[in-house]
Amino acid sequence: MSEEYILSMEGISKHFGNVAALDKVDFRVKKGEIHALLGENGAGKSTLMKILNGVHQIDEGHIYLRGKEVVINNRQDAFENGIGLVFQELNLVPSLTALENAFLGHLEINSIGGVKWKNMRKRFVDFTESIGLSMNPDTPVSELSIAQKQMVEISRVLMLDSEILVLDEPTATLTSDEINRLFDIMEGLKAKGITIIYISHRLDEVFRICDRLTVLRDGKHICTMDVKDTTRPMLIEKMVGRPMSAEFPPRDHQPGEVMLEADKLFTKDFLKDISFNVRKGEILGVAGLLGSGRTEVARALFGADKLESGTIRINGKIVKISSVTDGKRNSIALVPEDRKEQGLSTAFSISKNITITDLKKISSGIIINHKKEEEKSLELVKELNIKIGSLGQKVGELSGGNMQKVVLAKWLFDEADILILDEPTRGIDVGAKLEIYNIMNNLVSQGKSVIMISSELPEILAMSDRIIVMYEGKLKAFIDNHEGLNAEDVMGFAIG
Amino acid sequence: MKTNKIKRFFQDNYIILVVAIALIIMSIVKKNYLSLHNISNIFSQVAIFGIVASAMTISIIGGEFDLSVGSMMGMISIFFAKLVQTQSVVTAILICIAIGVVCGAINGVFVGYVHINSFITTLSTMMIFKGIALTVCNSSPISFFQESLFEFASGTGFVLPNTAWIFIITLIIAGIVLRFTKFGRAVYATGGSYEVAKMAGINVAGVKTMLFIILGFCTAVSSILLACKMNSGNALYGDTLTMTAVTGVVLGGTSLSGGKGDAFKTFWGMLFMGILFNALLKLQIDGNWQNVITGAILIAVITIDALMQRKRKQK
Repeated sequence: MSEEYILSMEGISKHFGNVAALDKVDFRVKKGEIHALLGENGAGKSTLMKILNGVHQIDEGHIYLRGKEVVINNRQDAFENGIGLVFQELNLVPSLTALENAFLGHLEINSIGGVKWKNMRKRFVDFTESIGLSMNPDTPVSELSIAQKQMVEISRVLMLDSEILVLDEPTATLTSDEINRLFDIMEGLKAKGITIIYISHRLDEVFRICDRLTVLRDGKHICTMDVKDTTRPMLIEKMVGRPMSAEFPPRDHQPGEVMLEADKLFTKDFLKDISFNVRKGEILGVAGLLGSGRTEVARALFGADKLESGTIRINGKIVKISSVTDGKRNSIALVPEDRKEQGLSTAFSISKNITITDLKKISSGIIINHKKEEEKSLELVKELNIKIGSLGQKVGELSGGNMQKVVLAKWLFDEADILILDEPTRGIDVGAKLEIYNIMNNLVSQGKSVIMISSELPEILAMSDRIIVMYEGKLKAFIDNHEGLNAEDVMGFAIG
Repeated sequence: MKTNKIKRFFQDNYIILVVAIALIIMSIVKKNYLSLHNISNIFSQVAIFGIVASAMTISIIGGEFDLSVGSMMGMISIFFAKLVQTQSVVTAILICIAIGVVCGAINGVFVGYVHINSFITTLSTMMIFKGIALTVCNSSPISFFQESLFEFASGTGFVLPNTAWIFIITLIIAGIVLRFTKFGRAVYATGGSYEVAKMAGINVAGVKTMLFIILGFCTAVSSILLACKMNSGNALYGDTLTMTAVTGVVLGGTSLSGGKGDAFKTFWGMLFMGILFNALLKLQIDGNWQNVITGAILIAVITIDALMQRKRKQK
């Protein structure tokens, strides 16, 4: 093995049942670089990283660290070999403080078994300061923002002297400000000689921060190259396996009359004076930083949170929405941000997930007609091109993109006229994203209204007819998405 | 493919094998064990509690359980014994069922609408019901005799005891409700993932309240049957009910974490409990061991369930 590689995974194969998740994959990472690992959902990125972390064992192949072959059977082995992973789903205990979480499982103990909190506090504060982070070590994790939680994880991993840091989609839930800070920290870590493997669906980030990249597709290694030698279209083609004409479909909406009008909405301690409207056949983009009140607007419209004052009109008529049932009755649907916690029952089958929003449609009286249920859900599965094994399959087994389509199917089944989509493409690969956009355009062409909340400004700009920008619970701007509008303009409103 | 299906069925319903093994062992140890007479005995050991176990299955799938059914049973049996001496049988039955439904609704409203967890809620109402029962009966059983009721509750109309048929019918209804009705689907959804069900527009508070109302109703029915069978009301009647019912449900394979299971499983779980109680009797083991063994089984089953889940996750 060549000296320059700190990590070299050679000819890795891994099968799950008859399916080859990885087929003789080579993956080599140089010391001190930021190496992007790219591929669509299901390409094998996570499996490869889980092998590196000892969650899965390899069927074939070898792993070399610093030129020496190693066997990684469990997380402990990974940790002893200086490999630290920060997964997309953060593994923190919400009720414990940042400090307690950072040392969870690795407490410093003195000779009589007491915990050396003072030492650890100092180490934590020193470390977080050294990477330019200010965080109160005594705040319970449940009160931290997602970005801060992530920093706690990263700190935890790095305080264990990890030399290789794997970040799995770290920016998926961050706002652009937070992303900038994360990237600064990553640069700092790189300067300290730490190697970073970076998994992301956001190609612009790869061009910004990464040195080299590896693309996987269908469990196979496609290419490894320097970031500077590649272009965005080229990468997309490698990931998808065919040339992609565009990331976004053309926008050709024909907005009609006003469908929903929100007038001076207030909620108990957050939203202030929110007024806007959305027309039939229109996509209304909702931009703003995380915590700016985007999601809260959606929840208030849908009836998941109570309004303190303000009126909502639908088709010109005042409606009272104080519960989800009211929201549904008024033909509003909310596709929540958190697919696994709020969008889907992962242990339920696909058809049961789809039909739960409107059991009446598949029942006569109080009795559910199982055959009708299958037919109806199959229609939607086909319409949305959801790739499934069978309708009885558990939703938890699907890839992110397909899961998101099931959530959409669930609300299409309800035949809502006003669909609020909260981060509809988060954590979804390029190909599936385009499909979701097409579905949205299709809905709009049927005269429905779509309210799309997104952290990704390119998405907001490409898809929306009009845009509202939220800032600290207030509606900062309500603007037409005209030709000249660019991301900086929108960001200007979002940061106050 | 087909053997796979059978294999999965028994993996899911391992309890059937457990029951079969228990029957084989007992029929080796005891002569004439599988006689109709003894099978009837087995059923009558658990039939009355089994009616409550049917309702408990629905509520555990819906993510809640009820500790108060035991003392509710004692209380309702006391009321019934009092009422039946002054009122007509029908009035007494209707009032007692109404009491069960109201008690269930009280539990349900606290859990569903006030969002107090079911453990605390039903622990409290358990004390309240017990206290009411002991006050009303002055701490001693209340005897009565109603011939037709006694004959029904202790008799055998067709092959099995009447109470066993009521148990089986209740289970079938519970099974149908769970599998084929909108309410049943809402129960699975609520128990499986409360947030998701709520965001899908299911009236989760209503579903939870309903779980307890069903429990109250079934508890009232079984309390009346037990009082009639014993010719008395007694505050201590339901003392082992909660444990037996929960153990039967969980042993059957319905997971305490909610969202999974069915009524069919509870049939086998309760049947096993019946075989066990009957075996203790046959082998002349002190009745107090029943409690020790029931407790041990419950914790063993929950442990196995937890270990299996962990293993599945690792895959």
